[in-house]
Amino acid sequence: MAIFLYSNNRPIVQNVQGKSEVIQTTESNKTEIIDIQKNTVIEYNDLLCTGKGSRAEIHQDNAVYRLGSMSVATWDSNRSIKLMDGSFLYCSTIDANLTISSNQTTALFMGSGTIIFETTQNGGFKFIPIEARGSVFTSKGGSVEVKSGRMLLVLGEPSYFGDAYDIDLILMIKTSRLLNSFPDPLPTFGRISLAIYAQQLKLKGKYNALIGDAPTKDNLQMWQFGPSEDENNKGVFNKIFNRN
Amino acid sequence: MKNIIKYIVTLACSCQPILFSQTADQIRNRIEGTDRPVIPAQATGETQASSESGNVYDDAISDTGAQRPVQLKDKGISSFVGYNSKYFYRDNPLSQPDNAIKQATGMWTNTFFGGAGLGVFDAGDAIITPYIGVSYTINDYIKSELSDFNYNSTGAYALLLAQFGNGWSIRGGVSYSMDRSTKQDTEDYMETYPNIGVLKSYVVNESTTAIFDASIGTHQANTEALPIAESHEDELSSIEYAASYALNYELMNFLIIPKYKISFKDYDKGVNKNRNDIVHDFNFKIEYPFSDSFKISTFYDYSTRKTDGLDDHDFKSHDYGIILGLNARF
Repeated sequence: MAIFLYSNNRPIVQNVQGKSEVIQTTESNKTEIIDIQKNTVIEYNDLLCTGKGSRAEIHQDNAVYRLGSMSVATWDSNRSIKLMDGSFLYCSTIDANLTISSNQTTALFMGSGTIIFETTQNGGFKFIPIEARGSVFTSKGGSVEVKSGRMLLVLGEPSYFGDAYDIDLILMIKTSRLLNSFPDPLPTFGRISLAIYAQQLKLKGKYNALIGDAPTKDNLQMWQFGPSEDENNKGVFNKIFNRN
Repeated sequence: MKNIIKYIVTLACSCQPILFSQTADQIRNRIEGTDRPVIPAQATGETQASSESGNVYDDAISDTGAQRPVQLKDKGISSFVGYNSKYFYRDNPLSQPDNAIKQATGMWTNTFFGGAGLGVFDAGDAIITPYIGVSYTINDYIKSELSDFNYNSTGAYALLLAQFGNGWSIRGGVSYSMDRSTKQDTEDYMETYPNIGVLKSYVVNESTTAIFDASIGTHQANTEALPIAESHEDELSSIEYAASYALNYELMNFLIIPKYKISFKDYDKGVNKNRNDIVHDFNFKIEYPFSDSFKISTFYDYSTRKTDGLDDHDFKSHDYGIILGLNARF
């Protein structure tokens, strides 16, 4: 019983795609590298690493975590994760506090939802709520109400918020392997559908650009594609006939 | 026999009062056989989601997904306007019973509609959206002998729609319809229709979406202007229970939509006391969208009505034709 409770309280691997490893540091300061499989228990402060094209899904206390390809993360404690590199998904249907940190910055999310985190070159991370309710706190930037589909940049130490961008949820969901490359659907599938529905009702236009990395705290890469004209500036006739 | 006589009298008699009293009956028949889709699919969510390019960014290095910035309206208030032109053959335009001569004709209807979504409200497990809208339709019979039956329809609705994450939506609202004779300039028919309904859409496979819809409502009708002897002005009032099932199948750029609808109407006024109708309707439509806002469609529709409690009211009708649709969202 004690073993069960112990195991149940630790992150447990539920699904592995490709090659993923845990780097453990023993009491004698030796490192041990273990291939993870289904039901592997992740100890706090172990380094969880995924290879190219590899992913892992981990469960702990009604929360689902997914680590993307070429990512490194560690659990400091329950619902406190440090993402050193790569991408990471958090999914919970119950309100809880999640501390997420990167190499340089930290934020606290209070609420529930499906959120993707992606590290940026500037040491911060992108906070991308696919669907979420609650608030996110930074030490210098205070709190911000989370809105589904509104990406926030979290930067610096002490941490603060960078720019926010509403992003196309349909495209995000079609292209995100963290969302759609795992065999079991997320428990928040219905809430994600509603977030897409609400965004479609509010949609005014889409920019012909994709957001890239943030190499410095002041720069965010933006990849333009197609004609630069904003579709919203088209006349009614051109809009009807899709003429640029 | 009674209806054959009515038909003969209608065609042969040039006496205006008699002619009009006969056409009043026929107008009523036409009204009873009219489907009133006053709530456009833009509001109920029956339309196919706007087609997105299916490009998956397979070469993306990150597993996060592509992040394309979008522009959103602050409060989600939106509006739409549109125009549909429908040119079609109708083999039973006046909803005549099986044993009557049916006067098949072409019809040309032109509908102008507009509406607004009055906000997007997150209620936790559902997104609530109120809608209002109006429409105006010019209905013209191509056959010159039937041009006396030409009419214009005005529609309006107010609707509250709750969409749930599991694909179900619930709606409740009230709609208003009014038919006015083009020639006589009389208000032949007016109804208010408080109704509630549910809709469930789900994906059958990669190219097919299924839509189930069920509704119940009460048609509170008024035919005061029709001078039918011993007629109750509200005898076309009824309670209607309806259900439909449709498949939206995408084939290349075409959208193929077979749809079946069954409805049961329970009448309780005047000569229609204890009358029940069961209407089956099968519709097959092929749409070709030139853009999100412009599409052309062709359709075939077959409907039958079986009436209990009133003689000579069963009918069948075949329609087929083309529809040109324009709409714009703002």
